[in-house]
Amino acid sequence: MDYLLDLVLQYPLIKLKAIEKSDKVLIRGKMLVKNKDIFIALKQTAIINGRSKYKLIKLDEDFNESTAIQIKQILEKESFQNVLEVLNKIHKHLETEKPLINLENHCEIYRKVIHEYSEFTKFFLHLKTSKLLQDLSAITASITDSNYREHSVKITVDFTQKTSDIFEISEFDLPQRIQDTFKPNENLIVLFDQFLARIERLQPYFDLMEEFDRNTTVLDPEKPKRSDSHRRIWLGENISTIITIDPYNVFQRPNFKFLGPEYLVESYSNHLNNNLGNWVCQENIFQGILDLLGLEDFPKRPTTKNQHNLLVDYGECSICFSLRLNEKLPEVICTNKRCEKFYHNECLYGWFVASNAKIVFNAISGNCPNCEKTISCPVLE
Amino acid sequence: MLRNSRMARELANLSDSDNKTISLVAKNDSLGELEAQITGPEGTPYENGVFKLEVLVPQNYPFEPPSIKFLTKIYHPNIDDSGRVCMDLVKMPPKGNWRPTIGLESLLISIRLLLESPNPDDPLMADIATEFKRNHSEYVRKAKEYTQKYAKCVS
Repeated sequence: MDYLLDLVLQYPLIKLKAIEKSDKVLIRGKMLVKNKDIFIALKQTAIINGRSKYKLIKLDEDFNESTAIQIKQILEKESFQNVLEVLNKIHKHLETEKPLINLENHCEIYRKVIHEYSEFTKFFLHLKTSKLLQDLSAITASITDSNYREHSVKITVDFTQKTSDIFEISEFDLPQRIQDTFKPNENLIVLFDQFLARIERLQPYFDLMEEFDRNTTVLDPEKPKRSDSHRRIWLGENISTIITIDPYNVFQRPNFKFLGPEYLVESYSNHLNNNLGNWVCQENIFQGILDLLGLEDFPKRPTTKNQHNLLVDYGECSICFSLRLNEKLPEVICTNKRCEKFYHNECLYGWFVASNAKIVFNAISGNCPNCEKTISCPVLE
Repeated sequence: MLRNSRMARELANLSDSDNKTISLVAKNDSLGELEAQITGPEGTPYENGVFKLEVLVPQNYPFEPPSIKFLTKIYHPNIDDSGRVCMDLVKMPPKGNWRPTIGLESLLISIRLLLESPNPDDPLMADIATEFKRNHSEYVRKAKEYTQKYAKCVS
C-alpha cells in the first residue's frame, strides 16, 4: 500500500470507498486538470492476477461525450496495478483534451469598460441619454445635433480578447458607405467622435430628405429612416418616381427611376433628358429636382379617397389585395394599356407556379390573371 | 400569411359594401371555413329563398380556388344532390377558369347569377337539365317547391 501516500499527495480530493459485500472499491472525487477541479467517478470491476479493471461512471460535464467515450475505451483495453496508476492514466489523457467550458478572466475588460464609460459621460456633456448595460456588454447613447435632430447609437463591447479595440458601433441609423464603415476603437471618446463627425457631414442630406418628406407624397418607405436614401414619390394616378440620393454627395444629380405605364413615363423622362444638362451643383437641390422634372411643385395625392369602397385600391397588388407584402410594394405592372394591374413579384410568381406556367431562363411567364395577356416576372428563389 | 391578410381585406370589404343579397361570415378564427348566404334572385323559382353555402378556403388561397358547396337543398341543373356546384370559376386551369384576382364576393355573385340563368348545356343533373329544356313549367314548379320546403327564410 505504498502508493497511498502518493495518491493523497497527487489527488487529495479523491476518495476511495469499498463497495459493500465485495473486495472492490469505488473511486470518486476531483482531480486538478489545467488548474480546474474536474469531477470523476470510477468503479473497480474485476481483479485478474493482481491487476484491476476499472470502469468510468461519471466524468465532469466540462468535458464532452467523446472524451468520456475515449476514456472508457482506454479502461476497457488496459488493466492497472493500483488506483494511482489508473488515475495517472486518466489525468494524462484529460490534460490533452480541451474542456468544453472555458471561463475567461474578463476583469481587465470590465475595468476598462467602466473607466471608458465614465470618461465618455464626463467628456460629452451634451449627451441626451446614455446607458451602460448591466452586464457591461453594450452602451447606448443618443445625442441632439446642431439642427435638433436626435441620433442614437449602440456600441457593443468585444469580449473575445482578440483585439485591444474593444468598442464597436453596432447599431445606428445613418446611410452606410462601404469605404468608410466605423472601425472599432479602444477609446470610446474617439469612437463616438467619429460618429458625431459623420452626423455633421450628413446634415445637407438630412435637410434634403426632410424636405422630400414635408413637400411630397412619399409612397415608400412607409416610415422613412435616416438610412433610407431613396423616396418613391407620387406624381399622379398610376405614376410615381423613385429618387435616390447619394448621402455623401448630395449636390450630385440624383438618380431617377419612373414607375408606371410607358405612355405616362415617357413625358417625364423626356423632360428629364432635356433638362439634364442644366443641372448645376447648386444650393437648393430640391428646386433643382423640380426643374429637372419640369414641375412647379410635387403634386399632393388627394387624401379624401375612401379606401373601403374598392376591394383593390390603386397601386395595390391584385392578388394579395394589399399594398405591402413583406415590406415590398408591387413591382410588376401589366403592360397591357387597358389593364395595368399591379402585382407583387412574389404573388405573381406564386400564381404562375400554381398554374404551371413556363419558365424561360430566369423569368417565368404566363397570362395576366386580370386581362389574360402575356405577362412575365423574374423567378424567385 | 398571404391568405389571412387577403381574407381579412375581403371580409372587411364585404361587410362595408351595401350588397344585401350576399353575406359571408367566418365560422371560426382560422378563416379556413366560412358560411355564406345568398338570396334567391327575384323573378326566378328561387325567389324569397335564402340559400346557405359552405366556403372552404385552402391554405394556398388565392393561388388555389376555394371550394363552395350548397348546404341548402336546391333544384337546379348545375347543382347536385350533395350541393356541389358545376362552375368553371372554382376549378384550376387549364380545366377551369380560376384566377387569383377573383374574390370571394365575385364568386358568390357568379353563383347567384347561375341561379338566375342555369346552364342546361353543361349540367350536373342531367334529368333536371332535360326537364329545364323540354318541360320548363314542371321544372319551375319543382324548383319553387324545393325553395318553399328547404330555403324558407326563418324570420
